[in-house]
Amino acid sequence: MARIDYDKVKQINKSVAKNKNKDFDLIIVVINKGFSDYVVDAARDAGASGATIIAGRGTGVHENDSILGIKIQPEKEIVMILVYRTKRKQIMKQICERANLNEVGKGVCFSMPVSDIAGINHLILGSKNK
Amino acid sequence: MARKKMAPPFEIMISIVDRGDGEKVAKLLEQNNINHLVILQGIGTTESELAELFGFGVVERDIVVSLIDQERSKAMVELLYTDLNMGIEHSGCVFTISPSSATLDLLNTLNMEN
Repeated sequence: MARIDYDKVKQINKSVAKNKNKDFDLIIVVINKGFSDYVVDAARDAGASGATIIAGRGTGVHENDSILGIKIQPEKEIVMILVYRTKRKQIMKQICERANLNEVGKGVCFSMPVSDIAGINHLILGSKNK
Repeated sequence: MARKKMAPPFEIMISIVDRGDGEKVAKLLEQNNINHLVILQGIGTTESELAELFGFGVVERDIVVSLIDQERSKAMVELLYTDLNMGIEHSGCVFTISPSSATLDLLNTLNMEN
């Protein structure tokens, strides 16, 4: 059974602090279903390596449309993109332009700071190689 | 008198792993008394244009969202990294996000568990 080795916790905390893991941000884009490709392509062109997409359902003010009295399910896609903080603005700007997020009801895009991170070796190695 | 704003003493931990490995993550978390978790099914994109050309551009993923106290978050990230072989490229990643606020009920529940 795998359990946390508490003796190692202090050492790990020190090493994580040294690695300055606060360099990453998580960009989250909530967009109508079918438009995630635009978001992923825009993010890639601006320097992101990839994205993860989850299906969702919206309940905003623009999601109350109905046809013949039958309500339409406002299907959404949630796109998560891990990026270097330095590239964040550029990527978000590109996403907003390509997915028309400046228009009402198209979707939202926001970012959150990431505290600890592991498993993004392709990003780190990629940046070192460049 | 202005009240001092304090962030909740826990983190939201998100693990993105290959489809099927979500159960492994959940098991590891539960073994370490982390019981607040949800497994979502999603898709991930690959970097390779060649893979996209042959129709392998999309990979099925499990996204495990859980709550963990700040003291153990770094150690848990390290544990998941080693146990799920995240050192291999594109095999998954794990990260934590600090919430800015939480309900009192949630904080009490987490405190009781610890």
